[in-house]
Amino acid sequence: MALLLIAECLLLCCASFLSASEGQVAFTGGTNQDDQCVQVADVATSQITRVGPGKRDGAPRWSPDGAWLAFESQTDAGLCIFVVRADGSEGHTWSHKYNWNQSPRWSPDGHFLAYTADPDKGLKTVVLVCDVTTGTETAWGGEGFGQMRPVWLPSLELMSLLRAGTKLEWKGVDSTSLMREAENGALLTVGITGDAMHASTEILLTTATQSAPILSLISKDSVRYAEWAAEPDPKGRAIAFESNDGGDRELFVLGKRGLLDITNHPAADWNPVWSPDGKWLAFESFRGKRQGVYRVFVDTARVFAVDDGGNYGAWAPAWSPDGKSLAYVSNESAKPQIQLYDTKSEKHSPLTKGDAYALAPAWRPRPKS
Amino acid sequence: MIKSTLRQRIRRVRRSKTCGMLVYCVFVLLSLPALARSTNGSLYAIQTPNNGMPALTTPGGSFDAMIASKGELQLSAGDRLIPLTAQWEDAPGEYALAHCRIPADIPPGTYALQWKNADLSDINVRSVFVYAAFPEYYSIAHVSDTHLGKRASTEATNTAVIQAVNASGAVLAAVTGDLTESGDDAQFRDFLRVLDTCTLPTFVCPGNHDRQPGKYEQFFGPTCYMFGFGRDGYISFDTKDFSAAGDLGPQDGLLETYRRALKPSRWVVGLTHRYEAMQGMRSQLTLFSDDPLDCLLFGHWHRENTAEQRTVPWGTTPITVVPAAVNGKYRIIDVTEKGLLPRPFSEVQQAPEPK
Repeated sequence: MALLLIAECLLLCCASFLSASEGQVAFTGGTNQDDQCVQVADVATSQITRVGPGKRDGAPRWSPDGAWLAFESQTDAGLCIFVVRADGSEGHTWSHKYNWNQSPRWSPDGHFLAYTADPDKGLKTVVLVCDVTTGTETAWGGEGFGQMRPVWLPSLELMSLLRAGTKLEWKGVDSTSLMREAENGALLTVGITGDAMHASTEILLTTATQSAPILSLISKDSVRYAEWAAEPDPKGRAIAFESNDGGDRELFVLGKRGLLDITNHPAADWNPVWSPDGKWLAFESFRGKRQGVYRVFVDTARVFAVDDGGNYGAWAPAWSPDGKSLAYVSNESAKPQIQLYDTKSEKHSPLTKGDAYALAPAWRPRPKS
Repeated sequence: MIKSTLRQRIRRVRRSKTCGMLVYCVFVLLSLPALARSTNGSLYAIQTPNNGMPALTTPGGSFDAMIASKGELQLSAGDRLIPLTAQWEDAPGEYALAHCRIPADIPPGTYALQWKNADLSDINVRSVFVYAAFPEYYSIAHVSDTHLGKRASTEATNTAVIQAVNASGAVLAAVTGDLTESGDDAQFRDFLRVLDTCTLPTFVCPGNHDRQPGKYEQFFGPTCYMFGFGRDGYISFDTKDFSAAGDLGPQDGLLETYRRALKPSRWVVGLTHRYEAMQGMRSQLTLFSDDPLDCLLFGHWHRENTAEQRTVPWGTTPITVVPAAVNGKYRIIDVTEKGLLPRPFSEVQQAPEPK
């Protein structure tokens, strides 16, 4: 018996050594869509704290300082953006202009949230920017496109890089004014192009009053393809996005070396997520039997499997602040749960388990000193 | 994802054994249904195929069955019992996946799938359909919004719709959601009673009215699946509630997997309950932009689509919306070399409200 206890203690020590990651992972989960609630899990102890209202809470996003979480949640007024501290305190929303609001993203300084609002459940979605302190909403991007899925550009370094070989001019857009305005804050959004019968998508550079298709600067073909999930790297020097250019969905990176297909494969690749150092992209791919999680070293386009999805499926990767671990969703138990992956040891460990499902992990950033 | 009542009962039995509650144990074992689904009508050991997601195959062909545990499998039709050979593999959620081989000399027809493991048994009626050969051209029936439980006349009207479908010459029926009025067990049982009057394979999907937590899954299993009929492929999926039809769960990955698997098909048809232009962009990119479906069939509106509503906005996929079966309406669609050609919707006389 004593030997068994000693062995168990040794195993626990080994396990804690292997799962050396620390920090907190926010996610949304529940037993069904109606009670889906944003929660925060401590990586070291797996202790979970419910922080959301638990009314169809959406994917959580941490503020850059790691102090707040933002996500959509249902109220009597519709789908609202909800903001709360990591311990569940000070939760609040504000009066929205439109009933349906989703996909919030924090500005680099943490003072603003950008999100998609849907005035008429049609193609004319708008991107709103809200001053988190005052709750004041402003529609960004002008009238030209329906827009959705906003994400803040941390800097205009990419535009400077592009300027070296490309004329930053768009037809029908006051390009000089747009670039001047972008210095006060710029978003990447997905613009809805075409008409109600032939809609497609484009990646837009969006400012307070204007927007322009960014890929058209370097590729006349971009209008032929449907782009999605544009994500700037942490310094704003490159943009990763997905496009069906090439026959299936691929990940492209637009940066100092131009436009590169970095995951070229006959199966679909999607949902790029930059590592904190900007050297890696985690993404989802169907190159295995099912949807799996992979990572690619951007400079060489060499791909490594994180979890090929087996016969169950894995998705939604999120990097730890030190870039050494990934959290993602695995459906191995037929109930989606958060798994952790250590990139050095290549070991997997469960963060959540039980009868409730867990989705959309987001690792808490390190507080800035 | 699917919590089988069988596993709950096995766990209960184990707990009761641990507690020494022998009497309770005997009671539970005696209460296990000898035939077809659990006592409340939900799926028992055999999750798929079932009468809302049947297997279609030919003599010498095969199909997959998802079952709570390994066991003996056979097909039955009347007094005839046909043993199946199965290769088993573990599946997510502690299920067992059986790759079943159909004997080459099996007569075409409608079969029940039977499973036996020691003293436990299960049977899913109308779950396996064997065809001599799949026809090149054929018709399908599209039924939606049966809303069982809405009012007393509903069952009679819906049964009349199914009888009309039986006589229509269609080879399969798609029932695209709002099967029940509010997703209660009793309403699902009523729906099953109506469904089992159909002589064709019936493929169902959930609608917003069926959305009591986990209920649809208990009665029909997966909310997203694919099947083939001859040269054509069909993908049935869940459009969930519009406000939260986001990209967080497993369905988006399944849709891409199924769409890719069905790429060699002549036509690929989507079956779902509702469609809104802005719901779930990831699934829309997969189904309408990257590899567009050849047709999307849905209901929900309780009316036809207008001439202006001929396609989804993201590409070329034509849509066909069928008015509600609860109002006596259904539609036959011809599958031809030129694509899916919907006929004008048909109508049976609605049963009168009882006084």
